[in-house]
Amino acid sequence: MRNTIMTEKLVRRGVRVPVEYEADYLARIHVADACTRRVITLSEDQTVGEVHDITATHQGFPIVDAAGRLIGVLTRRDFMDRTPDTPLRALIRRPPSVVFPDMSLRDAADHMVREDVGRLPVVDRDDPTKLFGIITRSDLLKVHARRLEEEHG
Amino acid sequence: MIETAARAPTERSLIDARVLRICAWSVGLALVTGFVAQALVGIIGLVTNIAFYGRFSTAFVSPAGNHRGWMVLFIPAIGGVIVGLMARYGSKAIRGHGIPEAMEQVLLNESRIPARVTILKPLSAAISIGTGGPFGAEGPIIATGGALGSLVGQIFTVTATERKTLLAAGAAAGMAATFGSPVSAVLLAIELLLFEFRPRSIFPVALASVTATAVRMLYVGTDPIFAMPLLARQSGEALTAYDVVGAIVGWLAVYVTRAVYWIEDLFEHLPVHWMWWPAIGGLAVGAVGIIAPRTLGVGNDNIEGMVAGRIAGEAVVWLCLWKFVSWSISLGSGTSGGTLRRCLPSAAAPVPPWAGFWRRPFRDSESIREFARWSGWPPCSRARHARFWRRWSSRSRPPFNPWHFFRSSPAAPRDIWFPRC
Repeated sequence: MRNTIMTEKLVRRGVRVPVEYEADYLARIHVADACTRRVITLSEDQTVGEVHDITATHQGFPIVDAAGRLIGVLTRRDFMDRTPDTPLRALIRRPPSVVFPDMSLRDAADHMVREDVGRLPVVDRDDPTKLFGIITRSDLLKVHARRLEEEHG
Repeated sequence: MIETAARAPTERSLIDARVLRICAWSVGLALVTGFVAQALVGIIGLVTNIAFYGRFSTAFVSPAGNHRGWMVLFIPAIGGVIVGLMARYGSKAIRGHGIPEAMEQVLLNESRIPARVTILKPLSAAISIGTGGPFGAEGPIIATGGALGSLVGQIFTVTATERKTLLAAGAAAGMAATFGSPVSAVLLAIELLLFEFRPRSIFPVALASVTATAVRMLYVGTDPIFAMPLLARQSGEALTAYDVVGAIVGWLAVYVTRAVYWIEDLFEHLPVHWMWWPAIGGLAVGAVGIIAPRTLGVGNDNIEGMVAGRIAGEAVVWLCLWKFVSWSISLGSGTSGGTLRRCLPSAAAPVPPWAGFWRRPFRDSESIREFARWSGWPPCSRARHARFWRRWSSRSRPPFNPWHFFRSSPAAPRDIWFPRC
């Protein structure tokens, strides 16, 4: 019998009653352990035309200045319908939403939801312009492969 | 270039000022719920006395000793009509034993329970149980506590999660106030209402649970009036037998649950408005009550009798079968009454026939009877259960008096903070 005398009534009404409570798997993992370290960055001085080939490979890119400091994030959608000679710095409209390497994936996921973005640059806690890596939605899903393996072998 | 700082997530501590505030509200809530629980016992006693003995008293009595004769057939039905009217014109939420209804509000409605439920639920339960309904009062008091907590959460501006915490705190307080089981009350709240285990919600719920237990101790006391004999050392054979009996009870529980829902489905087919179902269920309770008067009411004296070994053998099976018939039909009819305590005698039913069988190998029938206490939910200490039943069913229980709380406490402070069991 799947349900108890307490939950059967609710299940019959179509309510999904939680029965298993476990610690959040994402809260167990550091961003540093799940993020991508080799980040493809674009320079603010490049133009939309110059980066056209690279943007086909990924969805979003951290934008850095001449000194390699993070100044924003652009996604493929930002490049659409732009004249080829637009410099990337003109497309940046808001400060980057970032996470720190010692935060948990739960923090990262929640931050993505609040900021309505799909990827977060991972930056140094002491110097938030220093790029450490990048974490995306699919990284968050990928770690669950490890969980499933732990559970089902 | 945009020279603004990068936006990093804010890190929140496990416990902050808001949690402390919820804790404070939970303690206040538990005090109120503790009194409401005692008041509910008084009202059940009052309804029982009026319905079965025609006298005005809040003393807690069993309806079994009534002299109403065949009139007993109609007393639960009259209660059923009143409950039906309250459900139809008051709040539909009072139907059922209360816990699934509270769960539903948590899962679907951001823990908002209508304020009128806080009054209607305990009243309807008191009428249903007082007129002979074979239920426990704890489901309704858990539902009432939960409704009170939800009400606090609706009056003050809190988040949905904080309101859920308050609801669970009220419910745990309700359970602790009836059973005097602070630990299992917290576990029940986690499993059925919180659906989580984290400091933010456990602290308020645990505080509420302990506070309500303290209120209960002020009324009922902590001293063991029913001294439990110390058990013989548990042998491996005895423990094996407990396992076997436990497995059987678990297996029976599946069929008990199915039976209740099967009966509920049958009621769905009746060509009358659901308002009349509790009255029809009441007729069944009354009919069974004429055959077996002990099935009427909460039935703590029965459990106590089984635990003490006064009711044993075939009598237990007979009583439990009738009680099961009466309980499942009336619960299926959607009246207002609790389920938890009712599970106890059912669990005890298969045990005593075994007791004779196992007596020789153990030379200790006590250890088998012990199982009746062990098998019970909530899983708190045996001594605590036994004392509770004894106190609850004791005829000499004083009538409910809210001023007791302000008089000098019968329990030493040490016992409130470090109960002896």
